[in-house]
Amino acid sequence: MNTLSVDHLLGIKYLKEADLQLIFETADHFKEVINRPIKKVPSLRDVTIANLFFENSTRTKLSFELAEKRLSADILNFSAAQSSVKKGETLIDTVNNILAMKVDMVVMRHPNPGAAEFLSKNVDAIVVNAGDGTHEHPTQALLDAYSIRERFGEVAGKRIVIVGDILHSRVALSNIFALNMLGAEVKVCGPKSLLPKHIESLGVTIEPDLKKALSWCDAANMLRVQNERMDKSYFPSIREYTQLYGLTLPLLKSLRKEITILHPGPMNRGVEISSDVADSEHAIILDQVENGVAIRMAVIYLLAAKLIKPQ
Amino acid sequence: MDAFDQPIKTLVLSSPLAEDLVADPKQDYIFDASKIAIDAAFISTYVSFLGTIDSEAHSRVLVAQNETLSLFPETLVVVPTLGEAKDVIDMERIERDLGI
Repeated sequence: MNTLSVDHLLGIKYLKEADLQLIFETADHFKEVINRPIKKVPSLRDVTIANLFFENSTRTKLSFELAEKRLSADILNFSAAQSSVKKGETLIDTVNNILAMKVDMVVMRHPNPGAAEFLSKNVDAIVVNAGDGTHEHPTQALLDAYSIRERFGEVAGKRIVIVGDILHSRVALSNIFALNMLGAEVKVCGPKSLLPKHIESLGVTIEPDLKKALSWCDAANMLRVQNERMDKSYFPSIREYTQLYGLTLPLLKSLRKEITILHPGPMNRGVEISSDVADSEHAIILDQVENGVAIRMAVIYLLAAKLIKPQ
Repeated sequence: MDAFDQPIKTLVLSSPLAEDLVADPKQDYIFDASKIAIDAAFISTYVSFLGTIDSEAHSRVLVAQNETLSLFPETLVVVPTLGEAKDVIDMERIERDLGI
């Protein structure tokens, strides 16, 4: 297979395993490009991409923008803070105004779950979901799985624990879909109040004890505590959360094995992860940042290839 | 000032390259050699000059005529147009911001 089975990247759940493998193989190629002195290829010359961020996210936006620049695409940046959205314009109106500028692809982050899918059904452009509420964040899951593959050689058969605020995390949901699809075994670990009901129906098991979860796994993905998404208090205090679910170097050293640590960023150092763990050789957090650009280049390149219709 | 807001300085180079050329190490630079002939002496002097403003936190991009690009060592960032030079600096600024 050398094309994706989908026309948009809306979520991992819409992809097939072969799609993930194709994205990874394409990202391998782009990682070589990144290591050249001139880190740019002309693949997307004449393709215009609009980055629509209705929610703040400096790092994801920069990562997409860097990926697009490396592919030589023309870029249009839009953030809700500067837009007519604040004056009551609808999502469709906003996007149609932007598409009138002959945009080929839209990369969108939106606070509402399902916004990317809604958009894909209502506009004539390729849509890439850069995070929709608490629903999915597919490129983050792809780069996490890719980083695990890079570390271990493959994802299949690996034991991965996702720790923290699963309830509010689009990263967790997309990770579960991707890791299961690739044949990994997945556990979630966190306060009961931050685990969605029926989470086991997604093919994961629950381990409430962090040390037991870490002793079981090959890699742990430490999620950020998302205070901004919590409309009420889900645990008594940050201090208690850190004591029960914060990853520290003494805890890591107490395990009888080496494990790999991931974090989607931005980190709350001293809350879900201590600085000495984040900066240790166990952590592949900087690799994730670099892999994020290669994965986004791969996704954009593979979707843009569909713009070239066969004669 | 945010790194993204800093202006990119452009310095038009002459041939032979002046040995007492100076630049601010705390700025991102485009060195424009697109209108001059490139030879081994120029490249050697340019490499020595870059050593005087060495900085991992800033970008230096040389613009030279397309047909001369193969003369430069691969470690140097050399592109054929001012537009591409600006793109490279934009990319390097994002990379530094992301910590890559």
